[in-house]
Parts: sequence; structure tokens; C-alpha cells
Amino acid sequence: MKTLLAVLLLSYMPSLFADDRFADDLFSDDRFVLTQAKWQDVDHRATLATRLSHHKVATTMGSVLSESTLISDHQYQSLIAVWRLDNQLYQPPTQTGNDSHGLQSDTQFKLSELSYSFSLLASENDFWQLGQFNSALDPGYALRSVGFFESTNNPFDDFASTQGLQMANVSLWLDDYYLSLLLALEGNSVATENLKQWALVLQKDYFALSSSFMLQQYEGNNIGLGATFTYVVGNSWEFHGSIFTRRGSVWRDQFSDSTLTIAPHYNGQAEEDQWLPKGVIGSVWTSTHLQLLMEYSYQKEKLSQTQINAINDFQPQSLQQAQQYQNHLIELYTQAYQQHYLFAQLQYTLEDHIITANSFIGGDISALSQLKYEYLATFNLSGWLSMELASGTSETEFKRIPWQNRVQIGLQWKI
Amino acid sequence: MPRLIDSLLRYIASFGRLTLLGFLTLVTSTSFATETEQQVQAWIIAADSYRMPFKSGELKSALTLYKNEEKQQSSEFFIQVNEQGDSRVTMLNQRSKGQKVLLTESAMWLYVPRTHKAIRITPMQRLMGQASYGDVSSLSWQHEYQWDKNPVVTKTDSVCFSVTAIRKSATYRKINLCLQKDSLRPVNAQFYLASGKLMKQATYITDIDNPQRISTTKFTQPNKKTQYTLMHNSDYQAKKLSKHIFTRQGFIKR
Repeated sequence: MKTLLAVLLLSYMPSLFADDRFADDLFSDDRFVLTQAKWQDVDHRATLATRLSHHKVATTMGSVLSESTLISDHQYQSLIAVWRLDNQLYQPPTQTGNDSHGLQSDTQFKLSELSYSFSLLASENDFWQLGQFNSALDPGYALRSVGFFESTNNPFDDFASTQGLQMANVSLWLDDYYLSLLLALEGNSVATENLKQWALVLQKDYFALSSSFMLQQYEGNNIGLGATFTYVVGNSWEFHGSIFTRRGSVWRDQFSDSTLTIAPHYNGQAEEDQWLPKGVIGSVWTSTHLQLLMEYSYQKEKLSQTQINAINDFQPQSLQQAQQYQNHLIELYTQAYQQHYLFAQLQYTLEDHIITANSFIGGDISALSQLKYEYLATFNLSGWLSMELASGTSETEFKRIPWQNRVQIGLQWKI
Repeated sequence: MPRLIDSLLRYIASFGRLTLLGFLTLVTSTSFATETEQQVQAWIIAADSYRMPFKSGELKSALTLYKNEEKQQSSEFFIQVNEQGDSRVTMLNQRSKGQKVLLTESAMWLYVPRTHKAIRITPMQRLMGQASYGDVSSLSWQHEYQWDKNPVVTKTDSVCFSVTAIRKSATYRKINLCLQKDSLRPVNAQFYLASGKLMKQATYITDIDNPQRISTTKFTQPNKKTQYTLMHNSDYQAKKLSKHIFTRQGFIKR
């Protein structure tokens, strides 16, 4: 990262001094006035958001949690920097032998993005970008199948991380075509952070249809092919979708090195080298005050219902095996692991009031639903109240999340 | 037999006269329609020149909401337009600062900085929220609408006619326009959705310092009698802009 920062700074220096006003900044007697002018040229925006959550079932952070986040974006010409300060204030649950009842605080500072872009051709038909940034390729709102270079957002969570990847991007506009090559020096998760990823993307728009075609290698997997589309019909309907397929194994990493034999359906019968398609199809319908969004996703490499049942039916034979089983389950629950998901959102907007109902439904017919009311008090300030509720039978995905219902109250201030 | 042939020839002659008469009538009415269509198109172009004094360039726009004659909120936009009638709108006010809207002939895209994503939006989505992107981004009727051939109504001081959308990305399906008779300066307009619902009405206010320009427009809605929105355009700057910034990726990256 330090090397990257140094490269960015060095590449940026000549353009700073090529700018006469900046040179004047440094060497003129009117330094203050000119510095002020320079500061005004920088595009800033900052969002300060805070929320108080109450979980019905206590998590490791306790039942009441206060989270505050300051996200600050700065842009000067082609240099972009985004940083983020997160603070969590919580009271851990009381444990046997632990008399501590005090509040605990956890604060983290992260540079989410730092990138520099430039053009080498006089025609400006080219675009180069270096640094740490996100690149959104998937048209999905909440579900994605080709979003390998963008931070994965929880559809319910405005506080979700938007951490960029260290990447290099070169793009060319060739008549009506757009060609882009992306090279990421790291993966999106802790497990893939040292893995290189790349994509070659071709985009073309045909009137109401916008399309992308891509060749991609991600998370150390085999190279795959993907395509996306968006299409608008009339005044109210939008359709979008993405598909990606690669050859590989359905063997799950978290169980592949395991000595556990959970079930013949899950372990020991992993099919090697087959096509693993995944796709998202969605639509948005809008009227003057109402918006309905529906998205469905399928991923063959995730767990089928038979495999999920096999995991649920597994009976550990020893304490060690039970511990191993629990660890695997925890890993599994940190990610969406089913083959089928449906996301539905209904939003009603009336001037300064927005009411949103979201539901994220898994193939096992468990669901995580949210009802949110947001009031836009001024252009700078808004507040919201939301309730989340998990539903399903006891062995289903969303019934296993640490909290079963959660109430949040939050404020957001934009500067 | 000769009488039969004579009758037949007279019938053919009379048919020919009728055909000729019909043809002439058709030619006359077509040329009239063509002339009027061109004339109305010229009016639309002339009316556009009051709202946007250049084919390609930049300007700033501010929307201010008034309720019971009291100023409520203002939002500011930076607008770029090109010769093809494409436009880019960048939000400058705090709540949606950094958001951008791209309006091209066939599509409309909304860029949300938090997600780094440009999502394709429908004309109806343009109308949602407090500030309608459609109102600020649509400064060129000539590229988005054409005369619907309904009769032009001529009044003492104005000419009124209706236009229908020719672009898929047009915000409103139909607009009733009234222009000042002599100068062809826009006077007022009524904006209709595809459902036929009257969505907005606009009154175009003459700039006292520059009568050749309309820098302020007053928008009202039929069901909101006590409130209105003023759109004030300023900082006009004619400029040749790169065609890439009006493409999907150029819009995200530049």
C-alpha cells in the first residue's frame, strides 16, 4: 500500500506543478488567498451517520449497539480519496466469571479509496486509473453474479463497507464500443486478499438495450465468461440481468480440508470440473410514488437443499467433531450459501417521507425482512427507524443468524 | 356498340378528372401539412433558443421550493449538454452531492457515488423525489419532442400546440406549449404522463436584463395549489464537450 501511495504521489506531482495556480500557491506572496482558491477547487462531501440498534438476542456485541460512521470523499481533478472512520460502542454480554459491565468501544480508520486517473491520448479516447477503488460491473441492485470488483453491500445496510481493491484499469472508447481491462492485485475477502483477479470487458448499447460481455478470473478460480444487460420498456419498466459461468469444482473450501464426513451428499461426492453457472435477473417498476424491485439469483456452486439438509441432520460423534462442525457452520453463516435467493423491495415516496419494505428470501423459505421509515428533514439531515425480522423454520438460514429481530434508529448528516 | 364505347370513354375521362382532382387535393393538403410541420419545428427550435442559448455547453440550475409563498429548500445542479441533445446533470446540494444523471436518446442512467454504480432508470423514476431530474436535464424540446399534428391554436398574443415524445428517455409523453406570437418565446407549458395525467405546468418568466433568455421557470402541480418550484438557470457557457462523457462509462468515470 505504501508503494502504491508513493507511485500515486509521484505520478500526481507533475500535474500539480504544471498547474500555474498551484505553483503560485507555493511561491506567491498572496499565498493565503490562492491556497483558499485551491481548497475550493477540491470537491468534498462527507456523511456522518449514527444508529442505535437493539437486538432481541444478544450477540458478542451485546443487545444494544451504537454505531457511528464518518465517510469523507475528496476529489481534486483526477485524484480521488475516500476515507472512513467507524466507531462501535457496546456493552458485552455478561459471562460467568466476568464482572465487567462497562461500555466498550472499538474505533477503526480506513482509507477506502485512493486513485488517480489520466488520459494519454490527445483524443481522450483512453482512460487509465490506478490505485484503490471499486469498479461496478453488475447491474443488480441487491444481488450480483459478476460484481467481483465492487465491495459487497448488504442490501439492508447503509453502513456496509465500500472498501476498494488495489487495481489498475485501462479503458478505450472505440466508436460505439467500450473496452476495459481491469487488474486487481487482491481479492474481496480475507480468504482471497492475496489473489490476483482480472477482467476484460466489452460494452455496447443498442438503443433501449445496454449490454456488457466479459472474460474474468476471480478468487483464483478458472477463467469464466459473463454477460450483463439492462432494458427499459415504456415509462415504468426496467429489466436487468447478469450471467457468469466458469469450469470448476463444487467442493467447498471450508469443508474440503475437513476430516468431517457430514453426509455422502456433501462430502466425498464433490463433482470436479463442471460448468458452474450463476445468474441474476431483476426488474424495477415505477409509478409516480411507488417503486417495486424484484431480483432472483441462482448459483450452482452454492449448497443445494439436499446438502443443506445433510448438514442439518449431521450428528457429531465426539466433542472434537462437534467443535469442528460448529466452526464450519459459523464460516458458512457469514456468507449467503444457498443456491436460490429472491430479493423484493417496495418503496413508497411522498415528498420528504420514504417507506421501504425489503425482504431477502432463501431457497429454504427462510427470510430476513425489513420495514424502514425515513424522513428527509432538510437537504443535509435525515432520520430513519427500521425493524428487521427473521422468519422460517428452526434449521433454515435466516433463523440461524445471531439476532432474530432488530430495531434501529438512525440519523444521517451530509456536509 | 358505339354508344357503349362512347359511354365507357366518358366514364374513363370523368374517372380521370376525379382522380386528378383527388391527386391535386392530396398534393395540396400534403404540402400544407409539410409546410406547417416545418413551421412548427422552426417554432420549437426558436423556443429552445430562449432556454438554452447554445448547442453545446454548460450551465448551473437551482430549484427552489416555495410553500405558502415561503422559501423551503433549494437544490443546485450542474448541467452539460451536447449538440445531439444529450445531457448530464450533476447534483451539487448536500443530500445527493456527487450523484449524476445521464440522459441520451435511448436511455437514462443514474450514478450513485456510494455504490459506484450507474443504474438504468425509467422516465418515471426521473420524476420521483423532490427535484425532478427531468425538469433540469430537458432543455431541448427539439430533440425530444415533435408536433403531434393537432391544430395549432392561434390566440391574440400567442400560438399554442402540442408535442409528443420521440425519445424513449423523454420525461413526459406529451406537452402542450404556448409561445408568444411574435417572438416565439415560451409562455407556458403543460406536461402530461403516458397515462394522460397532467403532471406539471410551467410558466416561463422573461429575464428583464436579457429578454432573449429565459432563466427562470415556475413549475406548479395541479394537486398542490399552495406550493410551486422556481427553476433558475445561470452561468451559461458555450463549450465543445467530449462525446465520451455522454456515454455510460464516460459518465461514471469522468
